[in-house]
Amino acid sequence: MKAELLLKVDSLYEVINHSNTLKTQQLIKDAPSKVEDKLSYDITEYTIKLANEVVKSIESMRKYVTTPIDAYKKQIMELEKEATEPLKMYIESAKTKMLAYNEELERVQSEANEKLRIESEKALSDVSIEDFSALAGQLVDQSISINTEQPKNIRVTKKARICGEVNWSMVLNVLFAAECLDYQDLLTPLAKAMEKCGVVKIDGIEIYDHKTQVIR
Amino acid sequence: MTRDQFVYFPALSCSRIKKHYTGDISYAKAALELGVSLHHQLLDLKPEDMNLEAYNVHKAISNHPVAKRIMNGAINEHPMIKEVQVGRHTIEGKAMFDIYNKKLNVIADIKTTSAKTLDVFGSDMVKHYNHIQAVWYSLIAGIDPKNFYYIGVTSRSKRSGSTSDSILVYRHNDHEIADAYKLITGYLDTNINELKSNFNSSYKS
Repeated sequence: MKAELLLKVDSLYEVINHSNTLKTQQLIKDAPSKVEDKLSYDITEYTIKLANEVVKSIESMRKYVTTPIDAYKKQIMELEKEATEPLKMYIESAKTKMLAYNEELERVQSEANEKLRIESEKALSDVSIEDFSALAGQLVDQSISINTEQPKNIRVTKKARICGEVNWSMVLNVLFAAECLDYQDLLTPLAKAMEKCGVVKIDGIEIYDHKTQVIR
Repeated sequence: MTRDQFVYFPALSCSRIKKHYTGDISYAKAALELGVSLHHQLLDLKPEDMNLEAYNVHKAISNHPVAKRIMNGAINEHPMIKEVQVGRHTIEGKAMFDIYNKKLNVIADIKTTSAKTLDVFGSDMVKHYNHIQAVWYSLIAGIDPKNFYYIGVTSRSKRSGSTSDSILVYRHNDHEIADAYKLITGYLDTNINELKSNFNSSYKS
């Protein structure tokens, strides 16, 4: 690895302690605490501009200082990736093979079960009451012997996928009820989405003007 | 006989014998209560009145060649009190059979299980000392313990479209039955005095 890590933190301290920064910090202290007339509005606008400039200069210097760290980290991560990628690929492919083997075992088991079920149905259909116990017992004992091996470490989790026309209203109801979905996640992009689709109104939803101060 | 009358009837139950070996199992209360609820659904209600899970189990059992024959024409939740003889002990015992098919001379017990295969289910039954129940019930019903069956209800059987594959029907082998006899005899041997005072009128030894 060729990267060298040279950190210029002093440069960051210089900007933080620069006269512009200190002056702006003092200006903010003296800025009007309330915005109630044109003068206080203009002064506040001016201090925001100054504060923004200081923020940008500190941020820019911070980036200058941390960029080598990011580059160094990236190279370290590349090193890690080179070593782990083939292993991860092997793990994934091996797991797929093991799952396929497990599915094959399940298929074999299911086939054997079904075969025994059909045989049992046939055998028990015309068995006399006196002979039932002996025969049923034999069939039950036999079903133990057709157990296929059970591979370890197979975790079965339930997942959903679309298989037809979805009742999305029900999907949302369930997700909300289970607290898996925050309504705010849906509201944030909603106004733009409605505009895009030409939807003017949705019951229970109010589209309002949310104002932000965009002075830079 | 009502359930309460059965519970308070002064005769030896298999749960008393099992408890001697398992100790306190209050940690399993939640699981046991779930089991009780499923028993009620499966054994007391008509299929159309069952909840969806119980109905799915009912359907799966109805497709199992052995389980359906056992349940067909059987009496559910049937109490029985009878003097039984174990080794040198004779004592009045009681049992509440989940499923009693008098015609076939068979008893079956519904068990909810997390086991996925029959051999694991069978081992679990022994691990939880249920083989004591199998033998005790058989003694009371006067049948061969090999005619006592478990109908294991897996979580798969509760899903819609479940098949008979999801029902685990098991009976104990000779070794397990012999072990259960030993455990019952051992319990009676070590608890003679307590049994004498509790079931004084019926205890003979």
